Amino acid sequence: MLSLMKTEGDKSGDSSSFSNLPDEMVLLILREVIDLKTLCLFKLVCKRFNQIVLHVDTIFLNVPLIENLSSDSNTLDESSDSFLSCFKSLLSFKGLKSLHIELPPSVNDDENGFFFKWKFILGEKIDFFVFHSPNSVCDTKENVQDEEEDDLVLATQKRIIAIRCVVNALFRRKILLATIDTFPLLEKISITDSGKRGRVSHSGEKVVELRNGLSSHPETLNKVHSRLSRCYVPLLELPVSGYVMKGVTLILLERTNLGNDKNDSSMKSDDHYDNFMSNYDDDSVFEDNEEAAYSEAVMEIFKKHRGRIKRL
Amino acid sequence: MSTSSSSSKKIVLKSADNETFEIDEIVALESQAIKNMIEDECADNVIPLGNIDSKTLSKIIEYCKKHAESPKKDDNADIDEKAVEDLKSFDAEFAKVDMPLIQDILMAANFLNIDNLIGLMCRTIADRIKGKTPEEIRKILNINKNDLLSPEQEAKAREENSWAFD
Repeated sequence: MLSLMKTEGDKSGDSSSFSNLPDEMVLLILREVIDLKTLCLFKLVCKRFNQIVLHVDTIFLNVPLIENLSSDSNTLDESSDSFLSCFKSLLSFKGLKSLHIELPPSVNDDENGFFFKWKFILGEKIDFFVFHSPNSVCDTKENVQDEEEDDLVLATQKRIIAIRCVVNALFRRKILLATIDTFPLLEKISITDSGKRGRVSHSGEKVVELRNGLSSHPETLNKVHSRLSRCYVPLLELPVSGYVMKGVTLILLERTNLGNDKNDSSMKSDDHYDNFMSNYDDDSVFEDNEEAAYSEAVMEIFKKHRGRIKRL
Repeated sequence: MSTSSSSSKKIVLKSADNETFEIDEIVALESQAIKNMIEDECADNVIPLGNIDSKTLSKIIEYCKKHAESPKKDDNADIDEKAVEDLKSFDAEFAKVDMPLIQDILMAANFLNIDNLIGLMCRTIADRIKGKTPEEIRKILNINKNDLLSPEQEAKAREENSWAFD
């Protein structure tokens, strides 16, 4: 008969039972903790924690805002510095599969007191930035008043906030690509700020796609978008998701002249738009309703408001 | 040991300190290791568990009994929420034991291959060390002095992760 007797380590009780726990059990315990700061503290506990913790593959990074007195109130610089110091700790987790980054709030987000939301969508040749405000998402059309233009002051305020958000969006794009580039096993990444605004999230095939794109065009990582276009639509109805967005600004950030691909520069904007639309039809799998609504917003603008798109 | 139905097949488990526990086979099947033994027909009437003491074993049997009589999640989607809640509060109560016993249960659960119980014990340990200082964690887990980092290693770890220690 098979005996379940264990040969080594009879339980005498005087040695700590922790040292009897197999490494894989210790890893299971540590995997319950996803917060990077806590995981970093664990590195100091003992030799085994120090080594085993590095195998944790699902991490939540809550980037603290490190006050930087030397720089003026440039939010991006501060979150960038804060992010970099955390990112260094993250580097030792080589097997990272899933990462959620929460950035500090952008200080200016709420100062004007009106509601806005934004979303950044990474495209193949164009990245899309969709911004809308104020009180602009409604479930039904009835809640929306007339298609009025904002007054000049409000419009200017909104434009300034939108530009700040573009800057934040580009920062997220850089983090996203740098992270995908750094961690070969990464399958899922999402970036938000603590105000839950501007979520950028990718998983599965999209991550593989972005990684492959980076390996064939490594310059993408630092490449500044070379062509910007902007489109303002006062009222945008989204028939599929049923939303109505008010005061929508779409900013198209085109990455031209990538690598040696000469066709890129000759490609007309319209082709890009059609490209996006055909891709949209092909894979309409979204993380959530909001994701779908934003993609639909881009679609609708291409369909019905292409004439409003102006090169900046 | 009390039994719920007298007709079902019995399994006897024997702890390291030679205490025997007669349980329904269905309860024993919560352990993947015992299940494999039974399926491979290499289980005798009495299964000796030479590295699990009676205190730990009786806790594990308590857990398996409760979970064996609760509807399984993957069986059907529409099990009533009350059963789920009931099991949750059982688990929470079950985990209210001291750390040495939790570690013993974890070791035994690993040995007997009881996935849910492994998960529960790992979560419990993790919850108790979250938000604690390294020194407090060493105390909670009773970590040996000779397992500690050397001063050089500690300095290196502190430097690399300085943002985490403010």
